[in-house]
Amino acid sequence: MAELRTEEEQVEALKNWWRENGRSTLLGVGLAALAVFGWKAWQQHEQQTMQAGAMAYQSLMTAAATQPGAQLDGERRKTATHLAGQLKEEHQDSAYGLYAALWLAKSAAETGNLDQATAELEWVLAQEPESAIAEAARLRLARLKLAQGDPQGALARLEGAAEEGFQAAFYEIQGDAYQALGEEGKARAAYESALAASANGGHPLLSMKLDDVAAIGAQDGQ
Amino acid sequence: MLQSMRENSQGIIAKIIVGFIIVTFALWGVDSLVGLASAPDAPVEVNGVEITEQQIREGVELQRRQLMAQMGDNLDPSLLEDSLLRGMVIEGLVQQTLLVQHAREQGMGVADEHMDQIILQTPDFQVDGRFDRSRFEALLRNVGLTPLMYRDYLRKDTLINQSQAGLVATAFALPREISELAALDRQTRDIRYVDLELAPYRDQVVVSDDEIAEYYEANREEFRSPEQVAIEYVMLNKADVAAGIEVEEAELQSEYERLVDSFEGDEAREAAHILIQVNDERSAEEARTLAEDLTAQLESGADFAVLAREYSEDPGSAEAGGDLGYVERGVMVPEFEEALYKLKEGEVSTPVQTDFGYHLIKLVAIDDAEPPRFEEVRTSLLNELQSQRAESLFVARAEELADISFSAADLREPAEALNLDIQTSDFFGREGGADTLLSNPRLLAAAFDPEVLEAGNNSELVELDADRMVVLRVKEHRPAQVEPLGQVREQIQALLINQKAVARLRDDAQEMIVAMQAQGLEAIAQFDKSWQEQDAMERGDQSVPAAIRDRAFKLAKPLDAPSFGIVERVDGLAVVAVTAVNEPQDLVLSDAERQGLGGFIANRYGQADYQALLSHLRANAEIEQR
Repeated sequence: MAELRTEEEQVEALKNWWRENGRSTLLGVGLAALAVFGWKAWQQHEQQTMQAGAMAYQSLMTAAATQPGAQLDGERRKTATHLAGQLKEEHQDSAYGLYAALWLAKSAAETGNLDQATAELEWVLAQEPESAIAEAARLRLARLKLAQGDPQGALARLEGAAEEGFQAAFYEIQGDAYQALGEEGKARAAYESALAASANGGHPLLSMKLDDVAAIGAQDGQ
Repeated sequence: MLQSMRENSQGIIAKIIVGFIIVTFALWGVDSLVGLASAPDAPVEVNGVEITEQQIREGVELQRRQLMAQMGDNLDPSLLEDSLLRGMVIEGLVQQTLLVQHAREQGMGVADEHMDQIILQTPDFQVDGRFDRSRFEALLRNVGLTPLMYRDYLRKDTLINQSQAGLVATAFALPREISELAALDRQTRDIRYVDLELAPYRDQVVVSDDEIAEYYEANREEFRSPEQVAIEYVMLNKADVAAGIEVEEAELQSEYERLVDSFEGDEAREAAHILIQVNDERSAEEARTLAEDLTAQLESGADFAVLAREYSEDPGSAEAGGDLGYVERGVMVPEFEEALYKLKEGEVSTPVQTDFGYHLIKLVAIDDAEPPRFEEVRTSLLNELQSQRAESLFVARAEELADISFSAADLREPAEALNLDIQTSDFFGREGGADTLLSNPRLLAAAFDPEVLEAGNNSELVELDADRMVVLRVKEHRPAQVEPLGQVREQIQALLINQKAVARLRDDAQEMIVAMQAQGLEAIAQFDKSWQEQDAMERGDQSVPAAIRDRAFKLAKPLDAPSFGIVERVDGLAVVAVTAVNEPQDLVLSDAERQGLGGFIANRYGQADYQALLSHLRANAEIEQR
């Protein structure tokens, strides 16, 4: 801008520039605005979906709440099952759908329908959830197999290492499976691994299971 | 220069730049620029999310307030130390951040409506069953929160609860698991046990001086006594200050007169009455005649109480022989009271008319609430006056004590100035001494303050409680040290004798077990012992010592022969034999039992999953602590 120009010359230059670039500038600005608004709209949609999921999940948890040690009565179970089914269908992409399926599995298990419970948990795994939820579902599946009288099937479920954090539960279920197969030695080893992986000395129930397969000659004095 | 800026701002490029700035502000607001000025480094980072110094400080403050509210005056000030609270708070914030991140990554969130609902429905924020904004704000202020901060906490809390419920509330128990747990829990065992006493073995073993010395050398650290101090101190006691205050006899007298005044008019009389009502069925005249008739009966020797039961129409007192208990002035209607106070003890009035009807009133007793004599109350009046006046003097003397002892080299000067005795204590460690004085946390803090402990200065004024102030200095400081062998010799000797005796006893117990494994349980007779028997012992059986019972349930199940174990007891060992394990037959559980056990199992698996999620997140997180 060092050279002096008159006002008219500047306006002329601007007009020239606009003639050459005006169309593409407008297009660029339009595209940018579209992108910004699109992004905002998409975000808002996500937010709304999330909030709807949160509300539906809250309703499910309220409907399914029981006193400790009590079970849902038929009417309330129906309501909760309906809510969970809806949540599972409409929110497959978020944890709400997964938790809804986990609840459906629980409800099926409580009412004695172990096949249905298995199917729900398989559905959870099929969604490829993040590793902690997946591991929780896998361990529950193994317990279902075991309860159906198929310890081999349970062990097959437990192939591969446990996810970090889940080792204690993993080994305990493995121990239960070996115990069901009558393989006390392997059960003992599994329970011992579970105890070693437990925080705070482990659950008393785990110790009880381990004690029940205590080895002859392992005590002091012999 | 301004001229050139003005000219330049006319240029096209300048206009474009200004345009760009306008668009930026319009779309993203002022935040986009302010955010660029970054905050100081956060002390902890969890997966790239910062936990700021401010969050930590708020957490520490909150924790401190909660502790103070919970524990009140009993609070040990050392619990409030920043470093201790800080660790806990950071730990909690890391966990919270991990869970919140996990939930958000899983597409979870909290709807605003739900947050409002929670706040509106919290009973603590309600007055008469409705949400009350001023109560809400006042309560938050008490714990040092703004409504915005509370919403933030609540949002995170709700989000975390969602994840927790997702694992815990969906956990289940399977029928087979319930039966197996019940069977395991109700398993019983047939056991035999025998106690072997240690005492005879103690007499058989000898411990040499060399062994004691060897043990001492090998375990020197065990005999390290903690750092200790003995202090000397002067104590300013409010009671002593009060006792030194002189009160003039005239003041005591006037105080006494005030006391006497307060007694007057307080006199109470125990009264009884017979009420003859005037009502629709009975005219005033008839009532009066009846009352006079009763008076005549009384005069001829009838019993007041008997007549009251028969004739009185006061439902409250008739059954009790007319007794009204002690009556003070101003309780009864004036006519009644006037008549009552004219009577002598034991006398009965002639009929008295009130709004209720006709009364015959008897004065049963006068409560002789005589004011005490001056000599009786002199001491307590004196104490009262003294302690009233002691308050300001106590504060003044405490200040004086603080001033003098600050500049003095030892305690002699303050003690003389305030006419206090210098007292000395026994040795005590940082965890406190034997009596309440030496375990007072404020006194301990002062005694182990480096200024006092190392520099040898007088302490500051220590307020033990509202009535006692202390200034102290360390008289003698014993650093932590290993006690000399001479001091601990007997202790080691006793320990080694015990060890050797137990070892021998254990050998003998092994021998017994070997014999019984070969020859059966009856072989116990060879050792002049006999079994205690307990068949079908349950896990909670109280008739068997707990150590023996627990051990019996840890022993292997017997196959061909019983399984044996050795248990340590207070004064020896016990040999335990399990002869049979009884699994419960045909276990039938009631619905309630099934649901109870099922709830227990489900909750256990659910909690375990949630804890596993936490350790899973922690193990896979990048946590940076600066």
